Amino acid sequence: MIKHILNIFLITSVIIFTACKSESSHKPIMIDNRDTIFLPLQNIKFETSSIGWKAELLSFIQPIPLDIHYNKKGLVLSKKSKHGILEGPGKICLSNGNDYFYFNVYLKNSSTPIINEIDYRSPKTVNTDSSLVQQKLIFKIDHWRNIAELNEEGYFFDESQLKLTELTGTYRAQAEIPLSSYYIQSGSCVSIPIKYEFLKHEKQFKIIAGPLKDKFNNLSADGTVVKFYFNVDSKTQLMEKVLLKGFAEIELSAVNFYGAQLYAEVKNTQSKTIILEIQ
Amino acid sequence: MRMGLISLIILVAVYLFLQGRISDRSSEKPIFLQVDKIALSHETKINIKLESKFKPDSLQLETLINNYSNIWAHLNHLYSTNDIISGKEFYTENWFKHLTANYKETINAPVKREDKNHNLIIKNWSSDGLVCTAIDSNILISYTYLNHKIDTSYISMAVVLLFQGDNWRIDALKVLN
Repeated sequence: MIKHILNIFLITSVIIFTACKSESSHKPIMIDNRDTIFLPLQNIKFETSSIGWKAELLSFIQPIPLDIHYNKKGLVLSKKSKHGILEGPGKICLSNGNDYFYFNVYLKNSSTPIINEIDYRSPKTVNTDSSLVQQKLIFKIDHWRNIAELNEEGYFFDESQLKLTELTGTYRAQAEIPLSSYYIQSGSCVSIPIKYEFLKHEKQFKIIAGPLKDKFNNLSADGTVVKFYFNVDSKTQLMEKVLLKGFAEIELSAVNFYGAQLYAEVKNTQSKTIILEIQ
Repeated sequence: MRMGLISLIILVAVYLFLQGRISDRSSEKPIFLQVDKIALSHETKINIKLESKFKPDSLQLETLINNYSNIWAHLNHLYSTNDIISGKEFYTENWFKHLTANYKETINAPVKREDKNHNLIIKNWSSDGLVCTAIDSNILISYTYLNHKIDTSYISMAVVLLFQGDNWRIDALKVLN
């Protein structure tokens, strides 16, 4: 008796379990069987009789959830976003419960995005003492981070060496992009003109070094340290001043420094030696 | 008097407790203290060929290889999760902005991607070591689906890398085939 009851229970359980198990979904059929999908996404239609689908577009770099609408024939995938995409191989993934179906597609942007040309210069700061040669790298990147071809098909990068002007200043590789700025700075000064004058009222000598210029006649950079060496009573003393607009000046008491021998120096360049006298 | 004192102490304690709760406690550690588990667990082989006029030195090359491997670790992670945050140290600002355009939330995509082998041909290397353009030729990629089926394919791409902060970051790419 118990055996019969157990058998009935077992058969009933199997029937209930079988009835409750969901039917496996059939692979939806892409109606126009596209192998290239353009973004922003136009509707993609699939023929299927079942509902409850989830859809994702796997681009080359990231998965993008898609919206699903059902109609009489099946389902329609769409995406409201107007953003473009990084072009390349992708997959449409349709899932329903434990069933997953993949459709390999190639993803492209439907409209030509804004393409920016990058003109990268190296080094950014050039000194006229150097060869004045600068490296120029060119490539183009669109709004969706796709590298675009240069004028020649199949070429993405270009490199050249530029001979820069010897005039100091701030220049831009691309006029409209401040970040493309590069700088040409003056080189070492080639001579140091020096003179002095006696200030009667203050009873002081005013010594002026400048204008200091490099070999291309550019004024030496502000902040360049000018060393003034003066020799008085067999003692050599040093005073440092920084250059401003090509000139550096110091003042010395006429009482203490009358007859002193003086010269200015910037790195290896020296001025002539002058003797401080009351004119 | 005593009750007043106890009330005052309780009031101060409650105030301090509430202040502590509402104060902003950022749980994100500075980048140099963070352990990048995604990058650490990633393995790939990167062969390098130099075709650039300026050549990187061995240290720069080692840094590039490490960083490029990390970039791919995060690209693969991004591919299957849409987690745009975890790899942000390896993305330039423009690349990150592009990712946010197609981001709503992280998801669990039913495909995992792995990069097995790279042949990175360095086409240009800026003399200041801040820009690198390259063609990554015949990258061996495998896709693992939920049913454990594995697909492999070869892909080539052009890539622009910029050295920003402490490492190389991906700025743009172009799949070539």
